[in-house]
Amino acid sequence: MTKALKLDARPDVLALKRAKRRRPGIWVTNAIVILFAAMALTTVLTNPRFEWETVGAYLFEIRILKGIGVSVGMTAVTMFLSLIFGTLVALMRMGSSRLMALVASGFIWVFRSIPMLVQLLFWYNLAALFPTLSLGIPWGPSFVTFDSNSLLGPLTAAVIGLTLHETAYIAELIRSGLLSLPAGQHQAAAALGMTPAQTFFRITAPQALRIIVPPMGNELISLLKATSLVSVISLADLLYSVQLIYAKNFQTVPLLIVAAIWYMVITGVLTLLQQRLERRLSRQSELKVKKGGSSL
Amino acid sequence: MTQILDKKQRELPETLPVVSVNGIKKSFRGHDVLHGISLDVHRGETVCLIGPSGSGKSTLLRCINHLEVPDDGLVLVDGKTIGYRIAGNTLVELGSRDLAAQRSAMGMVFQSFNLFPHLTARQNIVEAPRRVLRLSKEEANARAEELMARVGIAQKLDSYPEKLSGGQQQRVAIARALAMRPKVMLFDEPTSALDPEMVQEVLAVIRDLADDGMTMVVVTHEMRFAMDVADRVVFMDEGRIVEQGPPDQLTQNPSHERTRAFLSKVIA
Ligand SMILES: Nc1ncnc2c1ncn2[C@@H]1O[C@H](COP(=O)(O)OP(=O)(O)O)[C@@H](O)[C@H]1O
Ligand SMILES: [Mg+2]
Repeated sequence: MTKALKLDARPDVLALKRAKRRRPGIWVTNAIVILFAAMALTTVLTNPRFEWETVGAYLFEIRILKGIGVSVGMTAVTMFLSLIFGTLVALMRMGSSRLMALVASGFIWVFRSIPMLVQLLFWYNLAALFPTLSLGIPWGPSFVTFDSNSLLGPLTAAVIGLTLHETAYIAELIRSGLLSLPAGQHQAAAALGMTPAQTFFRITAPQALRIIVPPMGNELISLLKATSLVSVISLADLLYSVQLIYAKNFQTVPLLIVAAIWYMVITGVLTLLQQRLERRLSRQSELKVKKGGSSL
Repeated sequence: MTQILDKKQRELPETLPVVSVNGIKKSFRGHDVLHGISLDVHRGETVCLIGPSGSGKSTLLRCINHLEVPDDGLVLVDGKTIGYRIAGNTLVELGSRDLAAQRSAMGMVFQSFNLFPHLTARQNIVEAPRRVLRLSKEEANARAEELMARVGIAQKLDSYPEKLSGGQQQRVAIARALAMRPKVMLFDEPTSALDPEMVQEVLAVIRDLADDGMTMVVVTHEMRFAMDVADRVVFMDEGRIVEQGPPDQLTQNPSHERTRAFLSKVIA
């Protein structure tokens, strides 16, 4: 029970100083965390096997930088293609055509269930299944024929594999974003005479986008890391470049640290970009009100 | 006073009803909600639709603009078969573009406002006139400004819905529907989601429209408002129109026991 102060009895309470409440628990946990962090850091920095000089020597090596280019490039191209295809698959799945919805569900099921690694190997070895690929009328004449070995190099195989996998995930993300909007939004747009396409581009997609940005950022970061799997099909991404180097000089740990540092740097940059985008989307409304509110 | 209806519309002879509902039937998963409703609404007429919750009022309203596709029966608005085109002696279902064009001639106001939260009041209002009617930016903006003044919140033009009170949001929703210059306005319990002190400001806007000669169908539980504004009150129960007539007649001298029972509940 707290003692109630009667204001008329103690008029001087209004003049009292204020003190922050004491939080001893926080002090204790902070001290423990700092201690452990310091211990971990000393171990990492003083253990000679980490070979920080070697790490420094290779950090900006040209083969490493090229590998980063491949990893980031693949991530960007895959994300771009997956956003487009993912939107299409999501709309197919939600559309009024039963057949389209079934096809979309099937696509999502297949490409979400096959592990990324299996897919990459599969696309890389596709040449063994279909030695030639041709464009033409099904069961009819073909117009162009490709040698699939030359067409499906490791890079193409990697982008196809990553894109199919990512498309399936992003389709589900977009679908959940669209489903989370109240049905009244569709109805209001329809009642105004907007077509389904107008409703999507002007009303539902912009709203779903705000909901989707955070999970989409996670998806992008996962994708960056998933590109390291392409090392199994000897594509010189960041990880494979590192592996090529330590296969010769046996400096395995320092070179893996180089790769880890770069993955952390890129992820850090992506996280910052994601945060700025999120903040911009959520602050947009307030900014616009301030700019346009002169008539008030 | 700004005029929503242009002169030509007002001077048309009162031959055809603006809205003609003919034998509309609708069921959801085997549960019959509308049992063949027929109703005509004439130019400039305000029809108030009353009835217990679940009697099918919203469904009827949504069948009029084809947000709900009737199982049977036909709706004509300004002589046009809603949802269908006539080819010889068959009714052919319309594609989504043609249906959208038909809907743009009917304004609808929802119980839950359904403003677009990512757009300001102005953007909410100009969106459909710009995209659907292909108005210029200036024209659409002029309409938005005129209508926001008309519903009494011109100073809120550039506010987002979340910054507006319920009554203000519903008035923006009305302005948004009016910006399409609809031939008929459909209101589905426009004040049911409002705090009591905001009900009157929205009803005043609707009353103003009625005075101005707008053709309207208003689903409402506000009996005093219905008595005051309606040219005709229609009482629905269990998917049927039980009776209809001028508000005085219906409320003073209802001919059905069900109407009497319902009225005694809502007129407290
Ligand atoms: N989309 C729907 N799916 C299934 N049942 C519905 C749907 N819309 C309305 N109903 C049912 O139809 C009946 C009439 O509903 P409604 O037209 O909303 O009545 P009112 O507006 O008069 O309260 C209710 O029993 C309701 O549950
Ligand atoms: Mg209703």
